[in-house]
Amino acid sequence: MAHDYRNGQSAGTNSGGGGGAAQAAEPGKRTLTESAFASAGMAPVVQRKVDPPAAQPAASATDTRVRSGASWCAQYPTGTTIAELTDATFQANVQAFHDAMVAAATPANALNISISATYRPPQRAHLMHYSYNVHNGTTSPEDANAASAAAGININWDHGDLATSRAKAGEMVTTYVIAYAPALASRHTEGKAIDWTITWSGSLMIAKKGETTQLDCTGTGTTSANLHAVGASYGVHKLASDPPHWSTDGH
Amino acid sequence: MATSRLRTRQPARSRQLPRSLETPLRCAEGNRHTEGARRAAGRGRAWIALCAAWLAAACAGPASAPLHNAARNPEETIAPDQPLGWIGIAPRATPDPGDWMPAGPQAVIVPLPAEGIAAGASLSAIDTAGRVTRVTAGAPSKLPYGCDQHQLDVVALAGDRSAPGPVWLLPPAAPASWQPRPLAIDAPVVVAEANRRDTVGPLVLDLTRSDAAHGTFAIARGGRTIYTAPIAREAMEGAPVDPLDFRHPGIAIPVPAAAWSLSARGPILLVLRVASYEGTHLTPILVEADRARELTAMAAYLYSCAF
Repeated sequence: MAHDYRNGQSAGTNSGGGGGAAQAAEPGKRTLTESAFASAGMAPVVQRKVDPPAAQPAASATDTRVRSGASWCAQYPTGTTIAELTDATFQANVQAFHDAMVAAATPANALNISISATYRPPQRAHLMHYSYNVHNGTTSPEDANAASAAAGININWDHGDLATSRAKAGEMVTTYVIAYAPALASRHTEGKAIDWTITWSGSLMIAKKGETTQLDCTGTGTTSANLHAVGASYGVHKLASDPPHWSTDGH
Repeated sequence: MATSRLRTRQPARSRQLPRSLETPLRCAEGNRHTEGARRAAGRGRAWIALCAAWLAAACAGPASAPLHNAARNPEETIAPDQPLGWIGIAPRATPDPGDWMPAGPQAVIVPLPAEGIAAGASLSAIDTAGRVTRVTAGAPSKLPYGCDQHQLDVVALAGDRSAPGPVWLLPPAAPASWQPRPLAIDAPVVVAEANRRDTVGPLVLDLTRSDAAHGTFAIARGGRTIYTAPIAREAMEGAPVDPLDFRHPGIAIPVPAAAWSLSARGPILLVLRVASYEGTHLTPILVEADRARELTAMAAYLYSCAF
């Protein structure tokens, strides 16, 4: 990962000098760090951090912001484990629900649980949101800069001219593979949602939390109303319209 | 045998049929009338020649139309347990940012569970342009799709490439009478914030908003509404709460993505694309002459990105 950024930088995708960001993480090393949001008065969260984005030319010698571009996209990765859910209660509930399914399954059930996403760092949601908006022209680079500064994210959306600014934001949209306008805040950014695909064969006999009567669950995690009821008893609620999405309240 | 589940009956309600599909019936009737007129009344040769020329032109139909359709003109119905195959997707060769279609070298992909597609199975695939290819199923595999390095679990099928978009994979035991042809999806004839009308061959698809997050989807055929289904945009934390706007189809708003007719005046397999917050649904609906039903077993969902 890190070498990609460095290579991207040395490839000279952006001209001009500049200080670049003084981000000190070693390339390829994951560390635990306090969220940049802490400086904005928000609760710090534990997050994975990967390589810093390539140092893009800054607007001036004193401007340490890193210009927008695809190299930002590896920052603040979305979690893919239950342990990365930042809401402790929900994390415990999801783990208990998961364990109950595993315990209930027989070999014939061939239960399979595949997690796609859990916690999305708010910084990632912020970058996805504003890259989409700047690229589509619904937010100016200047307004995006103001929002990012308020959020404590050291990015500069302004490349000196609007066309380039939108194009660089478009690089991020492409790299993120954004199809719809991303939300700034969602249950995923609160650590209160999980996207997982749950499949099995035949009948999965499982009881609600605290009960002994087993419900006959057939179908999949998307379609089984009984499994949805079991999940709800653990505080893990299904959103009907989106097959993998479960959260604290079904939203 | 699959054909035992197929019932064929002669058309009886020509007034319900769209004008474009009535042509074969009119041809047959026209032939009988012309013969009678010639023998009994002895009308002039010029009139007969003119009528014959008209009939020849009217009966010619589209160049690609299977001839036996015009001859037999079956009005088929599909038994509830008739296997209809699978809805797959022919990927784009290269990604198109912002588009829902996956990209890859595969001829066709079918998102799991794809029940019933065995590795090595050879199937006929019909794309939205009407091109038919033979494709061979591989083992379940993963296809990069969506954000955060997500990968779709799919059955990939190898073969010649099809037009990107939905593909109908016919069941191996498809009745020989099935002659699927794609139906054109025309530009909407009505597009407003609270209502929208699309036409797909003989079908009229209407969307009507009832409140900010709800509405109704209806299918009419031959001037008669034969299917309605509610539209509900569920609440997702962080999502805009603007009213449903059919001018810009978005979350929960169905739009036609593909359609194939089994035969003239026969059943139509309509595929709707419905965006959800985190992905895309492909919802097949079987539309017969006087009824329609959603085919949940053929539905596909492509998860794209956490919201």
